[in-house]
Amino acid sequence: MQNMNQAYQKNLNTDKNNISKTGYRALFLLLKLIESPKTRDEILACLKDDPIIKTEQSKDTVTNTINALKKAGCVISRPTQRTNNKYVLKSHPFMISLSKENIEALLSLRESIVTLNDWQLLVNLNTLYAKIAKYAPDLESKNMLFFNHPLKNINFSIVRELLLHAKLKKHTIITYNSPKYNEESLYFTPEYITLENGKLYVWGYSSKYNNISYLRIDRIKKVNLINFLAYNSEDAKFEKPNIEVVYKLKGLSAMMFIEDENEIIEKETPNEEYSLTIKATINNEFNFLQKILSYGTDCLLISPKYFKEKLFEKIKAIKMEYQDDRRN
Amino acid sequence: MIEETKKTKKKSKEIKIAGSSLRVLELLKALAQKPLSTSDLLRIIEEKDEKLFRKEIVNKYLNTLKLLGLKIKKIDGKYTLLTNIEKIDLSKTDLSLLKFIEKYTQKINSPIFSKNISDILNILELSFSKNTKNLIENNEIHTYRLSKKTNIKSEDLSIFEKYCKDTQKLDIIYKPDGKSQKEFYKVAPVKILHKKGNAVLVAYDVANSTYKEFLIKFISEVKQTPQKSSNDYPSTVTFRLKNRLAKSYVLKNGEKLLDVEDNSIIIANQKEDRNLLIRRLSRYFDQCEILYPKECREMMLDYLSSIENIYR
Repeated sequence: MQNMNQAYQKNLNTDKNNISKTGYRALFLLLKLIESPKTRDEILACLKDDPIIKTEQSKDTVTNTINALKKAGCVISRPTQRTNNKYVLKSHPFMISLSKENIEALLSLRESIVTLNDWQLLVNLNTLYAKIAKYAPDLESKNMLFFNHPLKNINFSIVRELLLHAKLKKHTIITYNSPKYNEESLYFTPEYITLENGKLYVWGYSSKYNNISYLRIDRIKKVNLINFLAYNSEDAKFEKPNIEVVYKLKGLSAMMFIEDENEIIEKETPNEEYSLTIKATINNEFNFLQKILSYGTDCLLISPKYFKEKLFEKIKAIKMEYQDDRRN
Repeated sequence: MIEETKKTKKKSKEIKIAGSSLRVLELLKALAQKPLSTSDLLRIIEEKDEKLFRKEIVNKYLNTLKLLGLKIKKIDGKYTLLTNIEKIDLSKTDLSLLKFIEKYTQKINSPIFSKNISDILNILELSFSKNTKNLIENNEIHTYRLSKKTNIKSEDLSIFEKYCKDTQKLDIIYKPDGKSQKEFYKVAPVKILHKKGNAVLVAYDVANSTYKEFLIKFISEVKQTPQKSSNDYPSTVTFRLKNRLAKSYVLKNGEKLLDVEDNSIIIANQKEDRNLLIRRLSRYFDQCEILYPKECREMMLDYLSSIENIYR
C-alpha cells in the first residue's frame, strides 16, 4: 500500500480525471496480485484504501475484474482451500521479457564463464540466472537458464559445509559414493574447492591415501565433523608433498593458460617456440600428469626429470590399449 | 428448467467484463513488447474492439498506466515503457556480477553479443525492485573480481559474427601453433565461443564431417564463399571407458551412452573437435580406448608418439 501511495504521490501531475477507472482498477488488481496472492476480502480492502478508487467495491466487481485479467491473458487460479482462499496469479503477458536471442547470449556467456574455472563466479551466475529466468520468453528458455550448467547436480549445503570446515581447518568424515568401492567413509580434511572441466572438486588431505587428494563434490553424500580426539594425530602431522615442477607451453595451451597460486608464469619468451615457462607446485601427481598429457606436444617438461619417466609410463600403458588389432 | 436458468445467469455473470479495462490491459501488453506510436496504439485498441475511437483515448489510457506508477516516455515519436511490472530483487553479489558481465562484454568486443547483453541489462534495470534500487543508492557496488588472473583478449569479432549469421561456407587458413605451420579448411561457421578469455570459432569441417574449434587469433586468412552451409551430419567417435571411470563418467553435451558392459561403458561422441577430444581422452590414461573410427585410434597413437618424440 505504501508503494502505491508513493507512486500516486509521484504521479500527481498526471491528470487523474482523464483516466479509465475500470482500466485503473484492473491494473491495480494485477499489481496487487503480482505482489502476493490475495483473498477477495484482502482485494476489497486494498481497493478501498487506494486514493483513486477510494469507494467500497462489490464482490462482483472483484470477480469481473479478475475475469478481465484472465481474458487479457493472465492465468489466475481460483481461490480454494489449497490456496487459503486466495487468488494466485500464475502468469501474465504484461512484463517486458527477454528475447530468444537474449537467452542465447546468456547461455553463451555462461559457457564462457565455465572455462574460466572460477567456481564461485559460476555459482553466483547460476543464482542470478535463476532470478532472471522469470523474464524468459518460454518454458524451454526458462529451463535452459535454470538447468543448462555443469553444477546442476551439486548439493550446495555440502559445498557450504566443506567451505566452513576448510576455513576452520576441521577434520571430517565424508560419505563418498566411490566408483570403485561404492559408498565409503573417508577421513578427509578439506582445503579448497576447484572447478575443472566443468566439475566441482574438493581438495584436501585424505587419511586413506596419506596424501593430498581430490573428491568430486557431486559424489559426496554427507560431511560429518570429527571429534578432534578421535582423529589420528599422526595423520594430522602430514606435510604436503609440494613438488616443484617447471614446464613450458606453446600454441593453444599457452594461449589458454590461466595462472593461479600453484602455477605461475615464470618467464614469457614470445620469440621462442615455447613461449611460456610455468613454475608449478604440485601436490597431486596423478592430476598433474593428466594435465600434462592433455597439453600434448604443446608442453615440454623441464624438471624434475623423473616426471618424464612417469609420463612415458602412462603413454606406454595407453598404447597397450591399441596393440590389439581385433577391430582393424 | 430452473437449473438451466441458474446456469445461464451464472454464465452471463462470468463474462461481464468492462471493455475499457480490457483495452487498457491490451495497451500495456503491447507496450511491454516494443515502443509504439500513438497511431500504433490506436490501431491496437481499434482492432481489439473492432470499433473506431478518438485519438484522445490513447492519452487517457496512458494516463491510467502512469497514475499507477508506470513510467512511459516518448522516445523518437514512440511511447516506451520504462517500468517492468514484474520486479526483480537482486543482492549485492548479483549487482557486482552484473557489473562484471558489463565489463567482460565490453572487453570481448563482439557487437551482436554485446548488444544482447546490453538489452538484458536494460531490461533488468527497468525491473529493479525498490529494495534493489535502495541497495544501489546506499552502497558502493564493486565489480566481481575473478579468483584467477585472466587475460580477456580483445579482438574485433564483428566479421566472424556476420559469417555465423550469413550461414555461408568459409575457406580458412589456420595456423594451429600460431606460427608457421598452415592448415586449410572449408567450414560452415556455427558460433563464436570464448574459452579462457580467447575467442574461438566453432565450425563444421565439411571434408572431415566433424566440428572443429579455431582460435580466432590463429586464423591467418578467411574468405566467405557463395556456398550455403547445408545441414551438418557429423560422424561419430566411439570410445570405451573402463572400471571406476565407467561408473562415474558424466556424459558431455552431444554424447550418448551406447552400451554398458561388465566393467565398462561405450560412449558415442558427435560434437567435440577431434583434436580436443583426443586431448581430453588422453587424461583418462589406460582407462579409455577409442574404438571407432580407425583414423581416430591412429590419431591417438600419433598424439602419444609425438609427445614421446619431443624428449628424444
